[in-house]
Amino acid sequence: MDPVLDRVRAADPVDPGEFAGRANFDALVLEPPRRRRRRLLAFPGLAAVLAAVIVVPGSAPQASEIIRRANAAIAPGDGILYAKSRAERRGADGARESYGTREVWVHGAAMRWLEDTGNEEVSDGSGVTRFDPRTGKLAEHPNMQMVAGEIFRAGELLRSARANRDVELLDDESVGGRDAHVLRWHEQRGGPTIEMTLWVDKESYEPLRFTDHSWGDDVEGRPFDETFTENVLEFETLPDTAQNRKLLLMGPH
Amino acid sequence: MRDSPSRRETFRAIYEAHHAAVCAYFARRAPRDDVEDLAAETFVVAWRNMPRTVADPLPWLYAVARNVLANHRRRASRRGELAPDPATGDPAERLNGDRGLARAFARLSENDREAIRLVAWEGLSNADAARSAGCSGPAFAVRLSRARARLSRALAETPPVATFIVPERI
Repeated sequence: MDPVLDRVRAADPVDPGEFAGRANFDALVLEPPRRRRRRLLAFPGLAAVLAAVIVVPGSAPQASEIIRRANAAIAPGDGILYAKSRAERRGADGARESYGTREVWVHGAAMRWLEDTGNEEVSDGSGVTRFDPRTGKLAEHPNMQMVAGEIFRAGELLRSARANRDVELLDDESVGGRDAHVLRWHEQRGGPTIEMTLWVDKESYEPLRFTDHSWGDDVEGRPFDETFTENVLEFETLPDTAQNRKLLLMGPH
Repeated sequence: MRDSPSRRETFRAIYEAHHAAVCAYFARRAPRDDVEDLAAETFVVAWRNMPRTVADPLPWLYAVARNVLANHRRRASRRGELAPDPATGDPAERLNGDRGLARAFARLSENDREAIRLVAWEGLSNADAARSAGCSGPAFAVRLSRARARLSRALAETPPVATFIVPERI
């Protein structure tokens, strides 16, 4: 008897037998399994990229300081974070999918997301209200939360990567005419390889670009190689004033 | 491995024996509307990767399901879709209306929560849970022990709250 685990067992949200009798094997689309081939280098260009990388240990003062300042620039703090960015996904075959331009305001658990398509979502942390421009209707989604854009997610991941001292500092680059430090780290999930790269302004340490490059086999065993890129058009921390808090509210519809 | 009749029949037996368990796995971790699709995706992946012999397929299926779920969440995040609220909206965290336990559970890391779920809800032994979690048996035993201790502390620190039934569907 373990009272802690017993309490968890009693809180199992699934009833025994809830899914019994729903199996339908004949509905599964099972193709003949492919022969497995060993892929020595799934992404040949990666070797060239890695050859150009200058790896600075996480403990080196310069790298540590850049990471600390980049963290501070992305961390919410007391103000309202605002980012306007353009996002897209590219596959290894050159196929491109644009996600358009989005503006995001974040303040604590509150968030507002506005796309150039007119799609708009706001959350106070306890639920989400979404405006769908196709229907012109508002919909309430209690017990849901919004997923912040990748730029904000990059901050969270960078903090995690920093704790594990797994952030590389690459050669400086220019992004939109601004000199940038380039930070790279990897996310380990036991599945595909995921490589994150964040470009931060050399003066303000604000994010300029974020890429999420992943490759490997997808859930159906097919090889994939794709890069999600978010280019930051504007980024600022607004003072927490009554006027600025109105930016977290749904616009008039 | 070729698509022989015996292989297909072996897989059919595995599917019919464990389909409900895989659905329950997803129902505890994902929105209910996605459960059957995720389960079907899991079996399609399992079919492609089924080893020549599977003595005890359920932990292996849970390991496949874990990767399917990670990909599913990743795709949703990429699209900027709504995600279940880790504190209240996710079936895994709603804990059948035990609000005090839900609050304590929400204070654990995802690794800790998953270790407890695999043992308490999926009913796996430490060895089978380790296979599902993709780690060694001793590593899982340590993880579970620490997770249980953290949950116990979190429960002790969580003030009593009124328990009520949370709506079943997100």
